Amino acid sequence: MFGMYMSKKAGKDQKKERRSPSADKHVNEQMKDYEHQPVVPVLTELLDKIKKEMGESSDLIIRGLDLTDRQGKDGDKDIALVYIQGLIEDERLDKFVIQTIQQDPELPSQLKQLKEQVRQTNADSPEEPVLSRIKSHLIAIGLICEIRTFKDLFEKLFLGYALVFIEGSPSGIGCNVYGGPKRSVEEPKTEMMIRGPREGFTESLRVNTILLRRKIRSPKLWMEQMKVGEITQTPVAIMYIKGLADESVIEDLKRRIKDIKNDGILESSYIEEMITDQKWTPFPTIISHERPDVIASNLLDGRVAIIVDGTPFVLVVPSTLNMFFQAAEDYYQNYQMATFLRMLRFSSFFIALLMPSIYVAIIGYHQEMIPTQLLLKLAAQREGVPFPAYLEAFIMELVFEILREAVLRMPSTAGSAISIVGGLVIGQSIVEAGIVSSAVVIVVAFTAISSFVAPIYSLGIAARLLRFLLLIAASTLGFYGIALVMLLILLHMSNLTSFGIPYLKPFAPFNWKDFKDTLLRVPLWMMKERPQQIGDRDQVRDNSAAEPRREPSQ
Amino acid sequence: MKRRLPLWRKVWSGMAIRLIKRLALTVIIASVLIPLTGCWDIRYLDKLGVVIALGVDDDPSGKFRYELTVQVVLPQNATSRDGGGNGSPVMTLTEKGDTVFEAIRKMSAKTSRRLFFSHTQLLVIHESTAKKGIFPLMDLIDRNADIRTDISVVIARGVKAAKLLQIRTQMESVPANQIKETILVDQNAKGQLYSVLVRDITRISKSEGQQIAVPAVGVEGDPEAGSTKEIVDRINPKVLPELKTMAVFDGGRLIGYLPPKQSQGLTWSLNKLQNTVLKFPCANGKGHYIMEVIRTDTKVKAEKPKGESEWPTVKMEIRMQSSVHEVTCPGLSINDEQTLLALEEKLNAVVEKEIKSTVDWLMDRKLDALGWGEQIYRDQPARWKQMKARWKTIFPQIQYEIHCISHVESMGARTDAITE
Repeated sequence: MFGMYMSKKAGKDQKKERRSPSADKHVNEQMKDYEHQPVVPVLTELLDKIKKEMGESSDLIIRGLDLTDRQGKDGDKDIALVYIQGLIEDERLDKFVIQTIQQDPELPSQLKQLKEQVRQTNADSPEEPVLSRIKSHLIAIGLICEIRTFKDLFEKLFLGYALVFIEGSPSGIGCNVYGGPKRSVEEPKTEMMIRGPREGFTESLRVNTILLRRKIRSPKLWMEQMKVGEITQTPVAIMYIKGLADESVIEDLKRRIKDIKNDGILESSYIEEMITDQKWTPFPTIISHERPDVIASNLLDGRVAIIVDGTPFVLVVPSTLNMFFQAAEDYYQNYQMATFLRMLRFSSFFIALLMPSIYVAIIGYHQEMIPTQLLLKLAAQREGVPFPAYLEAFIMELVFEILREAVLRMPSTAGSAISIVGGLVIGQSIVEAGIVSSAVVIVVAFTAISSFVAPIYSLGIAARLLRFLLLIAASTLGFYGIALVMLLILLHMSNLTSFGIPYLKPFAPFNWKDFKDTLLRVPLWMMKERPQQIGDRDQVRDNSAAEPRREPSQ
Repeated sequence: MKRRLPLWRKVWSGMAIRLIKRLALTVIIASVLIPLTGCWDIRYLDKLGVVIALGVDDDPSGKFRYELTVQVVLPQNATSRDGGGNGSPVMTLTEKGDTVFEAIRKMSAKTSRRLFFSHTQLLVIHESTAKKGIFPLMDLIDRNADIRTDISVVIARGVKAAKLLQIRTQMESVPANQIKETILVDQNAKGQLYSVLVRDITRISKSEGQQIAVPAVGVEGDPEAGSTKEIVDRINPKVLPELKTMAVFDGGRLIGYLPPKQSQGLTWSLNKLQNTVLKFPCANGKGHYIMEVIRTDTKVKAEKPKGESEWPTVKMEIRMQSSVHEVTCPGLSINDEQTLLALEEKLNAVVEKEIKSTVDWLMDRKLDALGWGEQIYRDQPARWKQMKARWKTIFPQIQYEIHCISHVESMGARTDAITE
């Protein structure tokens, strides 16, 4: 709560300071300056400069073509190809660029003419026939561009372009022959489901946008691309459906992304952390998904997707708490089952949040609230346990978190060792030795299982942290403390927004129309309208008749 | 180049000061909230002695008013999975005092665990103590927020309350549960007794003229043999707590015990009866047949008297659904409506007679355990005002009508009797 206060006040002061000194230096040395450095028409000079700027990096490949046969003069070439080894597809470069240039019969004579011209006029010729001939007749590549400054040059070079420079020409040509190693489309690892598409996003931005294009075949699926990260120059794309998405959200989002001035974006969580409305909350206010079908359905709701190159996790804004309880499979199976699972998820979130603290509160303060038989069972288990209940719960929660972290971080070959040590040694022998009571182990285990039910991992993280806060409250104040902290959490959550949309919508502010997709998942033929405040511009989503099923006529 | 400020200067800006002020304010508010309740209330579960039953006797030495016995559960023995465990599931502590609380506090000299009364199930009062009045015993239970008022109350008949609490039982490892559950089983299957809670007694004590009735418990066998381990190792127990009949009170003082039939009649008239069986002799005098009353509902109404000088008439309507369960009458075959109607009529007559005898028994002793005063107060409040002061003398003169409506639902899987 103080966080928000602070962030509001601090925002203005800190904006100027945000850029790190090293990034500053780097940018000044590199991209900013390059903008005003035109490509030199003298090939040797140009290539020397590229080599110098890149510190003679060995993966920089410069291939010179001596088409006019001026043998003898070392390094004096007519055409030079510049690219980064491994970033391009060699076969395409060979076949559709080098081969065609080499085999063109008219090119040598044109090159000679050009050279004469340059020598005579001693100036650049803007209407340059060789360049346009290579561009229009020789390069058999779909995506090409003109390189005029060093900024263009380096940008395209690292995007996987092969650059063609001609002696005497003031600009070069970039041909997209992007290639190199990349992961193929696989089943997503984090969002498993039984029914539904098996494809997941990959690390490649282009593949990801294609996966979305394949889902939504509409000219209104718009995409805007920008580069974020002063050094990494990571491509970031935002996609939305024009006419559905809120223009002000798009504007706001673009501005926030442009304001990011850090060294590098290595994962979409960098973006997430930089553009969230509230910086000091344990709750995730931007959701990330690994499945194209989920992102597509969010786009159809009028939300905006942020795709970052180098990660399969795509962000969606604005996000509400409710979205963290929705799994794609809810829509792929029977709505009764989906509704049941929704309620199960909500309740297991509360179990994950509250169960240890309720246990501690009951054992420590409110023994009269449970049935006598249960009380006697618990009392019998507590017999001879050396620690008070709250300490016991703390220890076991901590042990569980350690176990969980250990299993996540260790090589998978050693995983079984951990589960034996963790499960048997800690789980069983600690109870048999009477160091902690088995009730606590049951509570912690059940809490752990419940916390895995959340379909989105980041929400589970919030519950994990708040659980400890609630434990402290329960061990000092009992149910009163739990109620206080829950009230604080509720206040905090109702203060949260995600790109202007209240985080708790449609619970608070209450919106009956949006309840169709919260605790309930009503049948699709009843979901006639897009979410309020998000897909408002075109409210009706489903125009099918109220009762689309008819008896077949005889 | 701009001079970079050191970190502490940045932090110590005006914004930070305001923030710290606000933080401090909140911390103060929060720390004010904590002592409002707080850890003083913490009770460690393993440091509690859960009192499951209270027993009240007269002090034999006569120095104090009561001798209080508490039955404390030893959880490790009471709940162990291998049946009973090694030690006794409960232990008792006895102490004397003029009030209940005085005796309880004296017990702290003998207990390593703080006595905890929130789960107390049973209050046993010895008959001689009950004769002196049971209302003083209820005050602590009703007043104290930590003690529940749904404690079942019983009168120890013919045995000291302390002894009753020291009998080990085989069915339930905690003896107090045995007594409490037995009352409920009896109420559901026979209806000779019904469960009476502390809150019922406190309610009735302030009601219009109603007298309390409390179930009585005695022992079968030698009560002295009850407390050792050998008793639970036997197949035929040497001693068992056994339910007697309802004990009736006058102004909170024990007067006497209803006979079994009348005890059931009381349960029936108060609509506490859920299920019972009745025995009937056969028409030809050989053998019996048994009818089970499956569902029954009793409605009592006080009707406006015709004349000014007359008292209201109490009308009791009993609806029953029953079934024939056991027939040892030779040749009795229930396959026509006439026989069924005859059975129904017989049942009505027997129930009417039983309840009539109950009312008469109570009227003889001028004890309104039926709650009729309360009923007249509700139905005829104006008339009650005139009667209230003299209710004890008026009650035996009250006119009443008992009307039974029964319906035989089934006669079991066969119609003819096996008996020849």
